[in-house]
Amino acid sequence: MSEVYRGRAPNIEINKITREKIKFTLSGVDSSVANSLRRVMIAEVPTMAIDVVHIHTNTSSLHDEFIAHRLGLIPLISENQDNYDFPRDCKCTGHCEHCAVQFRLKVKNQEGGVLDVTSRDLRHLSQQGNDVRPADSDGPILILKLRKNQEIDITCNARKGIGKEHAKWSPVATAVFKYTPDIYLNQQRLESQFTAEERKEIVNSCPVGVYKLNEESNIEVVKLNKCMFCEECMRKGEMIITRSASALLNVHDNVVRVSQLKDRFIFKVESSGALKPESIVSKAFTILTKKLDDIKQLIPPLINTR
Amino acid sequence: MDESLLSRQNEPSSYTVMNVKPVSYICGWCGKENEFKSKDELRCIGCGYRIFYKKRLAEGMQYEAR
Ligand code: SF4
Ligand SMILES: [Zn+2]
Ligand SMILES: [Zn+2]
Repeated sequence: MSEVYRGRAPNIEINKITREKIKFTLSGVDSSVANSLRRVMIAEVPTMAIDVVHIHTNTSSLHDEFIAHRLGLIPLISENQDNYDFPRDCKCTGHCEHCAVQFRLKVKNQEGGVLDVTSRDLRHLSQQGNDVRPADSDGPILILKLRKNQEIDITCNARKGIGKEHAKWSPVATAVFKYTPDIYLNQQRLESQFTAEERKEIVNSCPVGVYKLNEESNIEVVKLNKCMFCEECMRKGEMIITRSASALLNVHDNVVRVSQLKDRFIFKVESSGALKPESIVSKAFTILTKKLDDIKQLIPPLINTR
Repeated sequence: MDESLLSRQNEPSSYTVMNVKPVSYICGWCGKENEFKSKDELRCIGCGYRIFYKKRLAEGMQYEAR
């Protein structure tokens, strides 16, 4: 599928995809590549977010700036962000249908009691742009509350942007990777020199439940990817060796060893709701390759001018 | 409304304060509306209190959601 570079073939394996989360393993690349991918997902994948807020009336208990800020942080579904231009690239002055989606928030509490104003009260000003809407399928996002006769009337513009400019445009909530754990168990010594009780101690020493005792009460690795390299199991193993008679036999190499495979990366990416997790990853790759291409374009002239 | 949404014309400036036409403020003590010209002493006609609240601009205010 992919070219072999320095004896390695880059590969991606998807471990899990849900509506808001993706877990995948990127292998055969350096940590610099993995980290670039992570940083592009956080700061350079564009989304839409409310950016300009015009407040006509505000008799609520929250001040204008506070409400404007809260509106900006509402994630908007941005799967069609390719149809929009960045405001700075658009030919118009101000805003137009190519670079902005307009919303109106007009609510007045006439009944009394406390009225919640949520993302469901945001209305599109025009028919087109309906694909960009608050990502609130899990329930309405609370913006503010109104007491009797309090009123709010706001027009706002959603624009395209990237997380580098402001975090509200970042499509991810979490974007992390870690090295793949590599656990070595010296089963032979674990069986011959350790009692069942001691093996159980090692199993229980892991705070995230990587190990399990099987029917023959031998240690088994069950949730390898949960490992967080705390080395608690190694310490427990060492401790048992030192306190038991086998220390006298001068066998000091550990029975449990945890190390990191430094070219296999386990990624966990959680979406803010603006983009599907899988499209965050694929868009990040597109942006990353685009950036590299841009640099590549510049290389030949540099060499020729020498 | 459309044009003004992105322009900065609605932002208050020191120029507006220097305007000759009287500006109406709300007294912080008795709530009476007082009109002041630029050189007037800031003192409520009703109660003599010296703290005033500026009224909201009728045409609304524009903010960056950041
Ligand atoms: S290093 Fe920590 S997390 Fe990993 S297996 Fe050992 S005890 Fe568990
Ligand atoms: Zn435009
Ligand atoms: Zn007064």
